[in-house]
Amino acid sequence: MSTASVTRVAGIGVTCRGLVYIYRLEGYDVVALSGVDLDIEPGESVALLGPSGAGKSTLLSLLAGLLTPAAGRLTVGEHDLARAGAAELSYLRSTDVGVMLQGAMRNLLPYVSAVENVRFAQSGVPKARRAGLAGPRELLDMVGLADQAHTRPPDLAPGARQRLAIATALANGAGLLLADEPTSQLDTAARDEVLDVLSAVNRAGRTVVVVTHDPDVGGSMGRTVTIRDGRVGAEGRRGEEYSVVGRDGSVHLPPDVLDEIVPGTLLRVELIDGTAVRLTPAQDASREEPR
Amino acid sequence: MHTLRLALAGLRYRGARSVVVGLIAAVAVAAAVIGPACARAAEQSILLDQLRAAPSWLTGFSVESIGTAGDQSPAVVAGGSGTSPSSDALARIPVDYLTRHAARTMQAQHFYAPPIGGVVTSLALPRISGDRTTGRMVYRQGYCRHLTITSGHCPAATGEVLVSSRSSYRVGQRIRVSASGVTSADAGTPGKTTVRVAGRYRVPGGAADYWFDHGYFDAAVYMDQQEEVRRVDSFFGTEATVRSIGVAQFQNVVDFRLLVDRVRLDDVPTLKARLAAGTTRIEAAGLRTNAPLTGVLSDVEHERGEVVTAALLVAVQLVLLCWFVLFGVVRAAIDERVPELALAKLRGLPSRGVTGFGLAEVGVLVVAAVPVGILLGLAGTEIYARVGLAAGAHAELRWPVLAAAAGAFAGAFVAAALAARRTVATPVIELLRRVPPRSGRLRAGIAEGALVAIAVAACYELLTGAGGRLGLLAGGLVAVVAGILAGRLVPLAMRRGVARARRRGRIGALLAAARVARRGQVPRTVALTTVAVALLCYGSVVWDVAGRNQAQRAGAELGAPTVYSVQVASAQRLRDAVRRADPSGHQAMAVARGLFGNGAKTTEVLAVDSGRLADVAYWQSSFAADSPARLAGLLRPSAPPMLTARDGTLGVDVTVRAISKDITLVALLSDDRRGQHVVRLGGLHTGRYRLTGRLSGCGSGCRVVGFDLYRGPDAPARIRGDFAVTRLLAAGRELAPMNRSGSWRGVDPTMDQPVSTVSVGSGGTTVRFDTTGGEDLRVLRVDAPNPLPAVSTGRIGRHLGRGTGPGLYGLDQPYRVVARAQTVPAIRNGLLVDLTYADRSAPDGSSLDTPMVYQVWAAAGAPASLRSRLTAAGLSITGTDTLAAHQARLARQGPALALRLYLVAAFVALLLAAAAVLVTAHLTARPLRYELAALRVVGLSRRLLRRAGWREYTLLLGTAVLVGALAGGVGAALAVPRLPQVSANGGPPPLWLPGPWWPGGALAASVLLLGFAAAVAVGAAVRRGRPERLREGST
Repeated sequence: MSTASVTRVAGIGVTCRGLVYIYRLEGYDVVALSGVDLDIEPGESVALLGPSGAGKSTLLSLLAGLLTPAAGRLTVGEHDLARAGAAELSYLRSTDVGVMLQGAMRNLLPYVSAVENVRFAQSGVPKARRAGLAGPRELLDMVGLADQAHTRPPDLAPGARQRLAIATALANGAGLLLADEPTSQLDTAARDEVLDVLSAVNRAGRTVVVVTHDPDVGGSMGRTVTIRDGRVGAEGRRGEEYSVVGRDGSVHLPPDVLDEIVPGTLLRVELIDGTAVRLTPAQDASREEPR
Repeated sequence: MHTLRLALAGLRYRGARSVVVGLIAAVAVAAAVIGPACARAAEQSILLDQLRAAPSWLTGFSVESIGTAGDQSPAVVAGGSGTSPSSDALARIPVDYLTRHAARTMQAQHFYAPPIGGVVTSLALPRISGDRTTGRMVYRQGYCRHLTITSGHCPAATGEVLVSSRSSYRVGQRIRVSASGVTSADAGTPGKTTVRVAGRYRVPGGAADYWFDHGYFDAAVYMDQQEEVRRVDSFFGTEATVRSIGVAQFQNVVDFRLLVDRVRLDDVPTLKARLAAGTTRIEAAGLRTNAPLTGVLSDVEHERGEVVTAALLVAVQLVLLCWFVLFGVVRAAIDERVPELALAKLRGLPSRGVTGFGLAEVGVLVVAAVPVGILLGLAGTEIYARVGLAAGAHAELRWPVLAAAAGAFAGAFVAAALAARRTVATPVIELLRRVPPRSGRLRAGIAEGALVAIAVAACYELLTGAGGRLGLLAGGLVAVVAGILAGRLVPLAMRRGVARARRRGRIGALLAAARVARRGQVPRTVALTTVAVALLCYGSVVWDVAGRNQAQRAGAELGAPTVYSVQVASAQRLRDAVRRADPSGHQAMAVARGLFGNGAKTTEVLAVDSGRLADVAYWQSSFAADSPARLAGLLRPSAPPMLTARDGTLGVDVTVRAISKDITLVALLSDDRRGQHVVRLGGLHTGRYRLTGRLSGCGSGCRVVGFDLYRGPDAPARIRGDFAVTRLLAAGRELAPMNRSGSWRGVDPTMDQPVSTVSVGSGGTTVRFDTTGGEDLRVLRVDAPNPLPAVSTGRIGRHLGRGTGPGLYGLDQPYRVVARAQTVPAIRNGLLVDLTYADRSAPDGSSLDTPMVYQVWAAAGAPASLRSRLTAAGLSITGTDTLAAHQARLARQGPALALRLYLVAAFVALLLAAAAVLVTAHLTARPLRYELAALRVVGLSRRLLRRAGWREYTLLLGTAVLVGALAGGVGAALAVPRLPQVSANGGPPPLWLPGPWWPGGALAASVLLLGFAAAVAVGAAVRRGRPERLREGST
């Protein structure tokens, strides 16, 4: 598969400060995000990693304006999503943000062709902004489906369906692409084709944020952000994994460290020569059971 | 355009669902249309039925000019002296001129047959057998074509007439006739002329449309001021013949027969208006009109009102039900597209765009369903009309039909808009996650509370007879309340079922209970199905009971399974002919009926060959406390035998002890045509001797009625007598002993009239009298019980014992009421008597208003050959009516039509409910299939899942069927005694209980139809709930 050259689009940045989201389920609350601090620069490609239930998809939904944060600040481009009303959020999704839901078919109308799906995705764009949009053919060309423009989604291969979903998500000319598990249930070849498309999209200037369980997908993104227990637990840059110090001073330890130092262990934290931090478990409490 | 393209593509993609939703929408529109369309067809049917059932003289009209033609010349008449010019002019209007003038003035071109004109004058005729004789001379356009001439020819020349073959006039005989009824002395001496009999005609049995009930064939013998008068059937001749009589009162008449089949409902106002306007103009010209059509139309209006009211109430219920179904289906259809709507919102489409996208598919379906629904509704109405309504009643496309369709369309669109609005207002994330919508419980509670209140009010109105129309909705409202309660209670009960099944570890029960308890559409489905089943059960019970009452009413009104109207000379001939045709006595019965008096004093006399009553007449045990066999026994106690004498010498031996001078003893006899024969036996004087006379005209035997005493011119003013008849001889042989007690009696006195005293001893029958005049001294043979035994019904003869009432031929006679009956077949207020005894005991002569009706009643098992046997026995059958035909007529009356409409509506409701169950199952199938696929993956067998599905639908629909049947039964129990089932009041005591077939059939139809829907739904869900479905892209 080869993807054609893509029209350049200005990327949109994201800023999260102390972002909190709580699900209310049948009488009790579940804290999904408990103070996420995250900055994504325009044009960046970011993979949100983390175990199931960590809050990745919730964070993506907040960035897409599908959920409203319970606390904290969230800015997408020029939009303050914590204060935005339904109309502004709708406008945001029709112009600046392209959302790709998990499961390609959830993003597509199964009864119309690929090109009609793209047109449908563009029908929400305000008329004033339609002139600058890439045409459906150009978008399909971008995702390598130019020759399948009139094929209906159920008749496409799974990878092609995912790419069509990407095309529909970007049909509004969005500067920020939010994709939830874009490569799940795909074989390696199809996955790589999707990743190529995402890479091309990012290279064209768009900010790309992907939720994934797949480390290889994360590795193909410029930056990885690991969400653990509703917070940003770690970040990876250029293959290097870093813990992130929270605004309250908290630090998520990497899993290999946690294998040695179980939760509840008392640590002595020492700054060494102003350049390194040493964590030393207390001798008498190193194997205490967590409370 | 893009939205429409998407909608069409979506409809294609969901082809089966689109077809089903479209069909339901079409059926809903059709159901809405059926109400007004059927009501209209039923109205037309009632109009046609009523007009066809009424004789032509009731539906048509006549224009008359009545006047006395005087003996002045036309010039004198014009000068205004002598007789009234207007009266004279009115009398002289030529028939042709009057006919043309009346047709033009009354604007009778389109709705009426070509008018028939004529002129009539009353005649005094030469005496027959000493009796004053009257008749009429008639000219009527085309009369020769409508009379069967048995001898001679149609009159061609002035002075020639046709006479009835019932009269004794011969062809070629000259008859001197004079005008009668000339009341104005100024007119001159009543005219006289001589007519010659050109031919004889047979009195027509049919063609009543032509003769217009003018009573031209009304030969009778009656008493007028103590004088016996004979009236002969009319003479027919040319107009010139009629007018040749000279000074006479002439009635010029033009009859207009309504062409019933041309009259549509829309024509009724025109018909009335033309009639009113024409009448005004006609009367302004000094003529008269007789138009009873207005009264007939009033009856039609009344019945139309009944059917329209009921039909509209049915239609309202049906339309509401359709809306309910449409709302559910449309909402489910939109709910099915929630992921697509969520996608539209995700792509930032504004609310308007999302709404348009959501409504487009349903909108296209509903728009397409409207014409299809109208066609379906009209087709259904046409079938309904052809199957159950009068010929000529059809489905009509009129504005109420279009309004109903528009209402259904609007309702469907509002339902769709409400469903779409709810979806548009739901946050995207909830749509994406398919969070069940929060139902507006408060609003639903208020609506349901209002419905319950209305139902209570309707039941109250029905039970108390408060008179409003809400009571007619009670059955439907009870069904709705039951549906609401069932819809609310079933999920609650199933929540407990979930816990119980969990405790017991029964997975199938757990799954079924959980689905019923949690699925959002359960209350709606249960409510809808309950309402449909309840309506069907209610409708079938009411229909069945009404049908049984109609059958009973038909039997009670008609009298027997088959009734032949016959023409026969007398009751005795009828009885003899029927006995010859049916010697078994179990198949046919002779019946003579008379209707006497008017208004509240109307009395019907039903004379039957009582020995056959129990085998032949329609009878129900509720009709009377006694069985028909016992009643027949009471009607026919033993009596001395009838004495019959033939031509020859008739004699009596008398012993006269005292007698005034110039008194003659005569014997009275009557033939089998009730013709009187008088044999003059001779003058009475003291002594013992034999008197004889010659009997003629009794070749086949005449019944000895009794004796009479005639005064001669020398008889004194006060006459006395004391004599005994010791022997009665015919042809020299003693006919009957005269010394048997109870065999002879004096005539019953009326108004203190002197009568003979009759006593019987060993010396014979002694007759004594002493009177100064005005006497009726007849001595009568007691060959029938006196007073005549009778069974009374209705207002007449409320107490057992002796009373007076009209005899078989209309003249009063004494009765003895031997039993009361709640219902007597064929009569409402009157007396049931034995035909033979009634014929014998009826006073001589007949009432002027005696339209005696002769019939033969045939039993249910009578063979088809009976008709030919009756004809062979000498009866001329002029009409046949059957129980089935009579019942069919009752079934086309307003109340029955309304009930039938209700039944059709209820069945449509059940179809809608079954379709709604299927559509709901289809539209909500996707998550269920994933659920089933997941359950298969964790190891549950397909068989277990199928059983769980069946259990779920059994809980869901089984409850609805049970509750619906119960609610239908309750509604019917409330409504049946109070709903009108036939138009007219009266008749036998109504039945309240249905038979087993209709309610059982309704229940079976419900179970089968809903079971089929359940089988399809469960089968499809389990079949498609494959584990592979869990993989992305599986379809």
